[in-house]
Amino acid sequence: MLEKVADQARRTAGAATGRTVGPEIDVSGVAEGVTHGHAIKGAGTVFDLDGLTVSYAGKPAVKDVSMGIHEKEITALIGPSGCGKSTLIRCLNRMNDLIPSASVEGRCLYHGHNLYGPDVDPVEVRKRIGMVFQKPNPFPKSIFDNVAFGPRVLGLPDVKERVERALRSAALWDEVKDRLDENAYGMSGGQQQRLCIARCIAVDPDVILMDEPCSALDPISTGRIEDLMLELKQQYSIVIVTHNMQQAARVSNRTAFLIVELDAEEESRWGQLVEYDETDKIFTNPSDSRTEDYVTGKVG
Amino acid sequence: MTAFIGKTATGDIGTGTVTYDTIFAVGALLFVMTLAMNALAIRLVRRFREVYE
Amino acid sequence: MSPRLPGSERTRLATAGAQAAVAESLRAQPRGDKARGTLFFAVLLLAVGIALLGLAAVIIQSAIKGAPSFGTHLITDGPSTIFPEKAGFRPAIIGTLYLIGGVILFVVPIGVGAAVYLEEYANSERWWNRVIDLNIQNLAAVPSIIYGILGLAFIVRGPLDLGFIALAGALTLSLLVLPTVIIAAREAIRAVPPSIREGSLALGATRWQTISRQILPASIPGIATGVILALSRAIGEAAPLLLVGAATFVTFDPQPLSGGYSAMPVQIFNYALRPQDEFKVVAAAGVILILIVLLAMNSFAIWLRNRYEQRW
Repeated sequence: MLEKVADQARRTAGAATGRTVGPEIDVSGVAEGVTHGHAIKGAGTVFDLDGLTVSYAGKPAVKDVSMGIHEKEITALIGPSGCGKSTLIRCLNRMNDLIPSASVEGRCLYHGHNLYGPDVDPVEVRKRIGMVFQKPNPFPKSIFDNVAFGPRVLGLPDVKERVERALRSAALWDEVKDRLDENAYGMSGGQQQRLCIARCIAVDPDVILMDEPCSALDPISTGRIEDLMLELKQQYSIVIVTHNMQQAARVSNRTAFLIVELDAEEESRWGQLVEYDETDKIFTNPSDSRTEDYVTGKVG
Repeated sequence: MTAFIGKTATGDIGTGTVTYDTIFAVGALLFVMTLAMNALAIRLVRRFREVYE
Repeated sequence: MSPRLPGSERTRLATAGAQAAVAESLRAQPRGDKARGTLFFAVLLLAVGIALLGLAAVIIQSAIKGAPSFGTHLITDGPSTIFPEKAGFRPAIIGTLYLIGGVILFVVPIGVGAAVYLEEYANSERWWNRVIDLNIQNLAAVPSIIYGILGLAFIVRGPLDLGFIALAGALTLSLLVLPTVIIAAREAIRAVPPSIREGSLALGATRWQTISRQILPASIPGIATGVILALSRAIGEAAPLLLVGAATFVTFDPQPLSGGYSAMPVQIFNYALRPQDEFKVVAAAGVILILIVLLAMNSFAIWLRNRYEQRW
């Protein structure tokens, strides 16, 4: 009990100063399906969202999201389809810029800097905040060229070493080290996705965003990628969108739950953040009844 | 029309004569005709496409 | 002996009757419908047959007529008005080669550049981009002689005033095939899935890096195929060249930037117009020559497409 209070205080202090405060605390979750050992490391926030609203052609897709995403943690966004999880995550590396009709209101701070400020170059943003997509999208090149593409276009040195390091970090090196020249399309789906992760890591990002990375994969590949995520979070901050809440429970430190709100008159719908808290709390003792309904499977 | 242009242009004609100018006149007419036919074709294609999709 | 329940006999009869009805319905087909289907199929076969027959007629007739004139002298000798046995296509072949070279030089950078702009940078919602779209499609269907007029007015005379030289012919032909190349290049670029673009941009590559290092390399097979097919059309065009001064009788080897020139289709035209029958033979031989070149180019284009085609 005291432990929890101290932890809370530490985190609040950390959030205020924006720096990591205090040692790690082991909080063991005890509910079914939830693994223990999610360490709450420090409280430095990578992203600070405040009243973030994203609209497509004037129609809001997700409204008024306020949350802080913490460093070197895995933050999961869960919720039913249409609740704007993908839209939200794409805000974080300005991928929504690619959609002409998209507009963003509210604040999105990255290490304290406004990500959508007038003098911010989206290209620079994406160098630091990488993304892995739902369907693995390797380039039509060799395995080596796929991973080397990032370092090459960014002008980073030691391309070969970077490629090897990235492939090792993605737990792919042993499988492909003898066939780096082969076309990436010859790999299985799970391998392709790990290749995309390696490609992302090769440019040394600060944050890795993953938009439903396992939904196109079989359970074994999914398991391997989840293990990979747990390893990667030691070095990178990870935000993952998943429609599989057990996955969120397995890997994430914190979870944000969004739902779809309906406006019966205008027949419009948008996403809304309901609850954002440590994963254990979301799954064992959620504050909002809607969260409880979702995680217990009462509503889809 | 095409044959007329071909035959006239390869013959001996001066630059400023009426014959020279008629080549361009016939050419312009041909161009307008094909343009009209194309526009019609595109419109037809678009209409049929809408029926299916 | 199974006990007979009342009505079981009726049930058995009913079942048998139902089965027979089903079998009958599966077998039956309105006779008129089938006949119409067969007739339609026959008409379709006839259409294909006529098309192929027309093509075969051209090839076979030319082959038979031109056979006596076949020999290396076709390629090595210049034309002559007096000796049909010695009449060749040499200046025409060289002229055609220069024209092809010129067309490739102009059409590839301009066509690919325009396609990249239209696909990657232009906002397709704006009205003027849709007008450009429409115009390119129209230009692709404009009769080739109009390009000849264009060349005559603006390239040979008019502002550029190049005179009747091979370069002018190349420019004219380039304008002729440019819309086709732009359309083909756009299709090739469009075929690259958005996921590749997104993947590249998400790594922090700029738009230009994405285009030059991912999209263009991936669309090269499609673009190359389009260029080759456009070229094979350009080779066979006589009408615009006639207007632009591919003089029908050139005895010397043409130079690209000076003097007169000739081209294969024009030379064939010239030989075919001669009153003597022997020259018509030479013309037919020229047709075969051109057909061989066209067949080779088209086959190469198809091989290229099949070999390097990207299956997404």
